[in-house]
Amino acid sequence: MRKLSSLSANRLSFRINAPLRWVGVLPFFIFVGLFLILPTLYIVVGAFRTAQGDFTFDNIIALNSAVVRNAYWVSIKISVMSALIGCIVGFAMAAAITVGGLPKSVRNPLMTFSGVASNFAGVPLAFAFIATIGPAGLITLWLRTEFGIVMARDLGFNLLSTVGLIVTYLFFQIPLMILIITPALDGLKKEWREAAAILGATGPQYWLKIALPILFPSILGTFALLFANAFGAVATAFALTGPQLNIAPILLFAQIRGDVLGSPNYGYALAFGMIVITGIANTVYIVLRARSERWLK
Amino acid sequence: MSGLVLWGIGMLVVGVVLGRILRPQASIVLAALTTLFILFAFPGLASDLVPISADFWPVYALLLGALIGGMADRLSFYTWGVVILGVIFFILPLYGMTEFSLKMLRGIYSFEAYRVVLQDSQFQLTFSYSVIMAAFTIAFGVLLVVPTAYWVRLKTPELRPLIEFITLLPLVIPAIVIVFGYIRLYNTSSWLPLTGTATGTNILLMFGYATLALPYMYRAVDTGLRTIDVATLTEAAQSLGASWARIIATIILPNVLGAVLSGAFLTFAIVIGEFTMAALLNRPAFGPYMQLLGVNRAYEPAALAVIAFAITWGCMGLIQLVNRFSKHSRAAS
Repeated sequence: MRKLSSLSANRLSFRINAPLRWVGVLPFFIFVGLFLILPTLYIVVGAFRTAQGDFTFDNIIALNSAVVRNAYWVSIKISVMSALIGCIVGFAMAAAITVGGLPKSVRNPLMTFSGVASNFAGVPLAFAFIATIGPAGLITLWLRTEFGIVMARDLGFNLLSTVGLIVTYLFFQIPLMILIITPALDGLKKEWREAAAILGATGPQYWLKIALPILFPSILGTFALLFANAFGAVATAFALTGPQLNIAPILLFAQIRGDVLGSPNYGYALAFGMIVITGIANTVYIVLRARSERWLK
Repeated sequence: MSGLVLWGIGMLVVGVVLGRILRPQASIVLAALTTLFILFAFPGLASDLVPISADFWPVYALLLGALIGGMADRLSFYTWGVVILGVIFFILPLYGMTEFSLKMLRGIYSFEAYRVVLQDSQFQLTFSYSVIMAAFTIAFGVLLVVPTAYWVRLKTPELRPLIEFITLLPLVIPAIVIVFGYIRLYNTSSWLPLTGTATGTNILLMFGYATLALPYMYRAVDTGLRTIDVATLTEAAQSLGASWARIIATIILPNVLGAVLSGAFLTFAIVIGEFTMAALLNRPAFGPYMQLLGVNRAYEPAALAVIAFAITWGCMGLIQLVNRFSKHSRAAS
């Protein structure tokens, strides 16, 4: 009898506690629901709705216009190029400070600097590059007075263009790559290299057959992250080129401000396209990172 | 691609081949090149001592190629080379903006641009607005994230993967898309007309900032919680009769203060220069002000860039300091 009553008491306390367990996380879910999930869903749903609220694919189909196609294409080109170069240069620098055997006095400041530079994006970054290689920038003028090289004419370089945007994005892409890939490079075990050497592998063979295959998911994953990073960036591009440059985020910016596409639902579709692209890139990142953790722990 | 560039590349290749043949002499080439490089770095010095001009480009390319070829067997040469080239790329824009910001008065270096910027009433207005917004965002973020992360660790570990996934979403969904959703969802004719009033829009912007900072804040706090024994601390506090609020405020928060501060400084760095959300919600924040000044002025933006970089650097420095300090105290205890 006593046993039974204590059992029912337990059950009672469980019944009270069960909803209480969820109370603690309720504020979090209310917040992200209202200010992250719901706004995004609103955009996604809006992309498939007419102005009257009926279901339609017309908005998505309307994206297939020359202006929008071009905007996405330029955006993707800039993001891929800046991510690719950022990956290669960042990897080379990270390799130099880890397996390259440079002293700690180089490594630590470089890592700290990478932390700063990867956060130094947006409007001020654009100003820094304008002051340096812009039309009246420091290096531009220096090349002209000392060498007689006019950057725009002789080197075909213009900061206020897609190439200029790629160069500028590299300022935060390379440090981000260094920050993410350095732990992965640290995870390469010395024993693997020694084992390979005992079996007669040369340096390049070790890199091609062992180190790079192990690092490959990390590298590709970080590439996807850098891609998404560049694809969603608005402020740097806007401060650098103003509203003229036709890339997806700036087109969306103009659409939100002044409805340049002619229908709010086209704006939803444009934003939806951006979510899809960064979503794919980040899914690739998450999947590949999980895979790389199998070896690098 | 002009002829000049092609010339340079061609001579570079010739240099590499030469360097491979003349391997023993590579160190001499290195010395010669280092000298030239130093001269390059100081244009004033160079033009006085050596006639550096475009005519000599092929020679420099040849020397560089010889160096690369000659040192091909030395790994440390390449590792140093890569790092030095990278560092040059990072330093040039920083040097450029600093130099540019000091040149407002013709012919001399001065802090005129900084003086003009700092005295601009718009600057003072927008900067203090962003600082206040950052403070509110940090306070809200801490109030939201610390209890949640604590609760998830203690009571609902099964929710961790879901919550971690949600906190990463702001990195996936571009800020411009999120704020687009806000504008449509919370406009004057909606159920929660936040954009109708200035205060409402400020609150909405603060929530937006908190969303942007969520991945960093949550990760920092969660890492901090990992280093302490949450369950034991909670049981000890409960057995002494502490309430939930008290446990979080006086037991958990002080223990993860280092992590919270890291997240707070990063949040500050993000909020202070944020452009997209503030511009689209039409709030007088520092980011849109900088952009506007960039359109109208020449030297002041460079001064602003220096200031912004100093702020970012300061925030990161404080994070490192906090981390070192909290590691230190843990080791000592």
